[in-house]
Amino acid sequence: MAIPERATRDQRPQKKFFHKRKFCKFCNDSTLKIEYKQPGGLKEFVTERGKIMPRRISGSCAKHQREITVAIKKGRMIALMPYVVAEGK
Amino acid sequence: MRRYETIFITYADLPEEDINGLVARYSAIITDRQGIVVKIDKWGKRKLAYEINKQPRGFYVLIDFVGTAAIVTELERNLRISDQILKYMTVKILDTVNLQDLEEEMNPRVVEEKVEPASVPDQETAAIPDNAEAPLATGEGEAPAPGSESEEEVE
Repeated sequence: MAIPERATRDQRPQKKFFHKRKFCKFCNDSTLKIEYKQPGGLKEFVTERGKIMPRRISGSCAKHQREITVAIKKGRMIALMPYVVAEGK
Repeated sequence: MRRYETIFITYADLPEEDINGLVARYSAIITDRQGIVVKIDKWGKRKLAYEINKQPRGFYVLIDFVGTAAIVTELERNLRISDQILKYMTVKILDTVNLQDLEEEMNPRVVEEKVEPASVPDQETAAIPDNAEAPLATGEGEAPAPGSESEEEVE
């Protein structure tokens, strides 16, 4: 990345994967609200299995992650979000 | 007085009158105890994320109200007893309720629709329902603020 190509270095193939910078969706757009009543908006913070995604994957900031988890848990209580998604269902 | 919202789920195949009856019964519990029902929102039939009482779908009703803890316990007691309720949940929205703000929130809905181009009264009504937007609305011109807010509501 920052290190320029050195001729003396043996030519090992550079790691190809490229990281898209993660950012907090809710910090970026203040009009978005975290609402347990809108499960559509929370879907992307949940895995296919229905588990809450960790911050290191979703990229949200600590403050909003806290709000997201609470919202997801509220949604689960009132059957808007799943607790578990069964395999093969 | 605090602001709460209660969501309850009934059977999806319940006839319309029964649902109206339920809503009337529960809002009566609130109003009998000096509570104020701000809004009743029938979301309609929805697929449940998981089965409750073997039901794959349910009818959601949201009651937004202002009241005391006693009202909440009484309301939840009634919801628990009823056979027609699959599930319910009460969430506290605000700790303190300003009755003036509440009145303006409940009434100007009719006014807002009629007098949208009017600048000065609109600014006030637009600023009240959403506290986070208030500094923005006052800082900018009067006309764009209500317009942008109504767009958000549509989304």
